[in-house]
Amino acid sequence: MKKKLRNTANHLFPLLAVALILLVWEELVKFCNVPEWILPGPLQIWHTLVETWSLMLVHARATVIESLLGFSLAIIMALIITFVMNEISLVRKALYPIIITSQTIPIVSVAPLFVIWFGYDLLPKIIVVALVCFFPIAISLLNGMAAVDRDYLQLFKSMQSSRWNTFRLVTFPLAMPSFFAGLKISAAYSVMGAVIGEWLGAKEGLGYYMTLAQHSFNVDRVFAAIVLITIFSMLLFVLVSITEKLVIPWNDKFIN
Amino acid sequence: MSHIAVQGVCKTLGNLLTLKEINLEVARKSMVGILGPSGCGKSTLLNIISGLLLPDQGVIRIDGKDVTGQTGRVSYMQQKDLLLPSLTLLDNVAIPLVLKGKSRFQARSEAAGSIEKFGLAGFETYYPRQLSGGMRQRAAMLRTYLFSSDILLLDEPFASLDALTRRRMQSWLIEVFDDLGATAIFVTHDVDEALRLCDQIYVLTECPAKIRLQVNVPFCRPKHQRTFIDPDYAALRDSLLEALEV
Repeated sequence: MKKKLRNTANHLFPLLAVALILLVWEELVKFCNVPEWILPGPLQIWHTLVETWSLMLVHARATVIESLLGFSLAIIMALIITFVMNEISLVRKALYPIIITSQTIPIVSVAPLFVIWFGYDLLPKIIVVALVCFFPIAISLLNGMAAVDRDYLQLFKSMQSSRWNTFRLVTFPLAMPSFFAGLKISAAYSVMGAVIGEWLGAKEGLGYYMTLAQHSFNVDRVFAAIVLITIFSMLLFVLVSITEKLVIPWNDKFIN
Repeated sequence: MSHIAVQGVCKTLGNLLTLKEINLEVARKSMVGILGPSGCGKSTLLNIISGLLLPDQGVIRIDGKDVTGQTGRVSYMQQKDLLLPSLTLLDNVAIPLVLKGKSRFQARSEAAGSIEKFGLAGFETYYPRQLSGGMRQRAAMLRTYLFSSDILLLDEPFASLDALTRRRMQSWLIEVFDDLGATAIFVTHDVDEALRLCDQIYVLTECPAKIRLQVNVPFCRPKHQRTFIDPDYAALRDSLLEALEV
């Protein structure tokens, strides 16, 4: 009973806070007479959202496809590369610093290059998404694998386990909780990556739609697109969380 | 012929001479205790017997055959239960059978045959996190047993348990040990535990470890739960404590 109350409170307070912010925003915009092309109120944004819904869905489709494909590509790449890095320590030593350093390159500065190389189609955006998502997934997987208690490995060695069996039974499953932590971060990044990619050169997509809206001072449309992006990011996050519960039902979080 | 023989084993770890001329003889189907202060090299000795570490000098013989540096002949249980959180109890104890190349199904059904004896019936589908410390330890011992049922190296298997659970585990082990038909080396730093469980006790000295005392225990694995009032017991206990310099 007490737990249920606390749960309700946990959900209620953030909602109340959001409602309060929206209310203050709405009233301030009205009170100060801010023109719509500078800052529209939440109600105006809601109207625009409803009005332009079908138009935005067309663009959202492209963004969703890019995010999902890029995200999947990042997962596959991360799984393959970390497997090799974990098995061959020379590869690990060689690649680890490169992966870390690669993160210091601002993605906005290389994304236009992808447009030059691969054109205005989906491919350059998928690459941007994959690059943005790869790092958190790969690092969390590597750290998860490195954090496996050495005594497990010793035990399996004493049982004459093959390298593959040790990996499949010990290293990989024990790295899963950390892997999913990385996936959740990446899930949120993936949509952002797609939008950045579109922003810098595209024929469709929410990022492209936002640049158009911005150039014609349709600030309400920009906000409406932001709302849609947020909703989609959250859906992706929830999808990862559900998958987590299915893949590692044994995790601390799910067993009381 | 003794089942396990450790002959003249020396080992230096880093710059520290850890084991100096260790000789042990373990008779078939007996339990031999190794008592010593913590950090004296008991685990190093077990690592050498299990083949995970190579000694600088000396040999390990099992049934008279030189098995120095060979893993896989004996099974090894550590203080930590080392059950995989990702697998259910039954899958955890079946691991050694899977590693030996049996199918998952066959491994499971074979392991299920021993679940009862180890007091784990009814908990097959539980994850390790859902089990008590004593159960996890019994599961770890079953996994050890299923890997190699004739020689068990037990490295302080009950040290992480609370006093009551530990006592219960000892009683359980006393009950099933003869049934298991195994030879065991039991490392501990608990004098009473060693006296209760072991046929023979070796006392190791502080680093570098040498054998200071070797005693036979006439009243090992008693079937009752009472305190010993036998004066011989008290004398033996005192001599062990004296050898440990405590």
